[in-house]
Amino acid sequence: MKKIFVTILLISITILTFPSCKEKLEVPKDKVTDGELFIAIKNDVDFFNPLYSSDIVSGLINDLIFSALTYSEFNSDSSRLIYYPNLARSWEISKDKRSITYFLKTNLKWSDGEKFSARDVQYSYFLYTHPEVMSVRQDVERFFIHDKNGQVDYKKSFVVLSDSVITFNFSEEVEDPLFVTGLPILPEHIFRKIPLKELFNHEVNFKPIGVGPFKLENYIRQQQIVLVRNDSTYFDKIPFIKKLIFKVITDYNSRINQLKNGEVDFVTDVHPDDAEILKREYPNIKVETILGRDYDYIGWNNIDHNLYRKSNGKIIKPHPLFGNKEIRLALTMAINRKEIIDGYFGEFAHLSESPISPIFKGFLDTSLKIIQYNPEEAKRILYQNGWKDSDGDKILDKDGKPFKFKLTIASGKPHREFAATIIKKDLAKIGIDVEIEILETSLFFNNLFEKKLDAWIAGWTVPLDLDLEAFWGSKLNKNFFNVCSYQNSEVDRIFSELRKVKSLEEKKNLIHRFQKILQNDQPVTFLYWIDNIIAYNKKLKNTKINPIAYTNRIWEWYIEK
Amino acid sequence: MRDRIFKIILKRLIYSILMILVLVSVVFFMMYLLPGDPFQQYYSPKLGNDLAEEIRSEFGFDKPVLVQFINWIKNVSQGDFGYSIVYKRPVNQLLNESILVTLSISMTAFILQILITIPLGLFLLKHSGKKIDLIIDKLALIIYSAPSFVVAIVLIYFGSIVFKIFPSSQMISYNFYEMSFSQKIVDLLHHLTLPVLTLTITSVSFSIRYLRESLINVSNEGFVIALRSNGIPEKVIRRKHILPNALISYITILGMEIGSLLSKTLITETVFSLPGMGKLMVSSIFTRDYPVIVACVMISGFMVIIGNLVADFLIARFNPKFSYEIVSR
Repeated sequence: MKKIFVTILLISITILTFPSCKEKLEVPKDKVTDGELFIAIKNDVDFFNPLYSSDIVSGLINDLIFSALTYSEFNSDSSRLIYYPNLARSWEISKDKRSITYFLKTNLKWSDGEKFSARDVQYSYFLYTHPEVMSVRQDVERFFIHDKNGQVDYKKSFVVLSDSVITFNFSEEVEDPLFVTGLPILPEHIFRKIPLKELFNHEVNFKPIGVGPFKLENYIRQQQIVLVRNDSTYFDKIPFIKKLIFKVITDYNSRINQLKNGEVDFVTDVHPDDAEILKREYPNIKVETILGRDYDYIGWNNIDHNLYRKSNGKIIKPHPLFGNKEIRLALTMAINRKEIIDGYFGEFAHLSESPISPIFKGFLDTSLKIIQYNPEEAKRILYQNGWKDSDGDKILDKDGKPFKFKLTIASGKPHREFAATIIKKDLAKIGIDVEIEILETSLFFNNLFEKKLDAWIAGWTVPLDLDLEAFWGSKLNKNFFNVCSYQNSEVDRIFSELRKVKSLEEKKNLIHRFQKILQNDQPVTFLYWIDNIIAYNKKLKNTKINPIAYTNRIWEWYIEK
Repeated sequence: MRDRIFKIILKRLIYSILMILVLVSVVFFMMYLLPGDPFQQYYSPKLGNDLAEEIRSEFGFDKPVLVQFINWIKNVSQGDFGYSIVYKRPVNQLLNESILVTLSISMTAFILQILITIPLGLFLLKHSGKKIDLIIDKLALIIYSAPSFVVAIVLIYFGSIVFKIFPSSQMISYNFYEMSFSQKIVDLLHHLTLPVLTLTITSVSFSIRYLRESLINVSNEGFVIALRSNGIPEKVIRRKHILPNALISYITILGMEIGSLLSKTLITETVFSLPGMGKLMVSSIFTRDYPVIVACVMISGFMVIIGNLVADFLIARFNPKFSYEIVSR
């Protein structure tokens, strides 16, 4: 009885707080056709199942089939995600931020006609957090209540109050409960029949049943994914476009040619030189850029990686060339990063000084100084540290050893090949001999994660929650992505404080401090932020490209007659 | 004699199977020596490599290589090629889907190549030494020297971009399943024209030079001169006497061509985004999808060996003298 009362009370509060969740879109009906949109994608989906899909393309497609309780857009000014109702019509976060209650829409159906309910939400989170499922998103379990055996206590963590009300309880205060509970929801009536151990290899991963704005019409491996508008779910965001045809075209030039030719309407990851051509010569094509979260950097291995690997991670000594932060600063000064940007990207990339993207306006420390190209100062620092050309061979040396190293890059990345050439030329000017090594991508990452490289050019995407410990935390065996083996106890303290922050201001201050330390230590040389350039046919209207996903609000897109 | 040939066929088949086994074993062990990790896709900042290790153990890839090899041989002997790490589906299923695509484009190109090469060869023989002969010979040399993807790009440029007649990629239209049977056939032909043309043109450029050479050589032999002096019409000599003799070396080339056609298909499928075995193999090599790579190598090896066997027996058919050579090999 008490439970019912609480539910009714919560529903009433919500209805009063959120007057209407229905969104009405003003679009001139006479200009809209049902339409079919052809989107070129560079790779096939890995899974039609958000439990396992791990690449960007699959994530975008799965988001159209499986919806989450909310959908979010990134707001650059506040550097936060703004949440809107999706499967949930409203929600209430407890004052202590240790629980969140969702009030679900009651008229939704799965694409097979079954009714959507809170039990689907509960079972989805059971799947995401259960170790036997091996979900790529299982890290979300750390937020929930655990039992004595260290497993998530499902009964306490995901509480179904009624068919349309569910409460998530966290083990401690959570900074952004909506983010933690924002994973796509799966149909319980399908997944409950499958033993957990069999899920990873089960055919259900390619026969999706969702409650999103689109459903899968047909799929041919390495060819096409056809999504059709999901009219059966009574989803309130019924898309204007009737069909989305994702064409798998692995070859970049073919994607661009097909856009020019009208065989596809939408292409992402356009190269800067092609963007210029499309802008100049194709009046029917619109080119848009999204300031993204991807940056390139030169990684300097901070530790002697040979010794580290030989001792199974027990002996950590500075790298003979890059172990000194002054040397790393000198290397950054000796490289003309602006020349790389101007030469390859033009207006489509921006100088980077830290791993915080300019889209996180509040968190980016704008007081950071720009490390200017200054080869003379670089030479002076190197000289001070004992590096001089004592044998007249135009290569600096110290204790009889020349300053020479391999700069490794993965194949198939023309911008990094260009950057490597400029870096080699610039460093040669101050007496450093660089040999460029190009490795096949899989081999490159293998060597990178095994800490076998001295110096390399690679790129990372900054996570939306700005949880950067995996990239910069000192525990090298735990923080797998700290490939440059950077260690700083002050940075570790910041990460530990960030987990406990109560206010946005506090978080901002800590992240600003982190950036200052990083700039001072120069564990890597940050190169540039790369814009994601997209190009599409101008018949496509009302696109609102957001940094977190280009298919954002796709139900509002329409094709002009 | 028949029994003897049958025994020889059997012997050669057994040799071929052994050859495939050696080839596959070498590829299997080489794959494991190759650096790179097929489970790299499961590395993530939040989970590190923990999930990758869990899945590796789930697939049995944490066991010693020899144990994996023995398990693999056991499974293959029962017709099971294992499970694709990347596609998360049985390799058999992937092969079934992709072999059809590869065979349909490569075999069509193969037949077209024969249909074009023989009449073209006779035409060049007729006009031997004239301008047209020289032009076609040089053109064939240029096309043969160019990688097949260049031919593909040229065809895409004219067929898709300039004249907009053919699609530049994919095997079918997105609405293929809504089409009637006849529409489906037209759609398939429409999509496969450029890939098949690419393979046909490159194959013809390769084989025409051999056939032309062979035809000219035969036409200068004594028995041909004797036929001419007996007043037998040139057309009859070309078709009935020169061609059958010249075909023997052409058929040998055809056997070799099956192997090279497969490698060309590999590139063509990638350029035209066709879901064939070539594309499957290329993407599997990049992602280190061991079970798929080994299965593809095995199938390709099998196709090449069968191609060569067929060529040998065709030669024997055209040249009875040669059957003795096969027997004595």
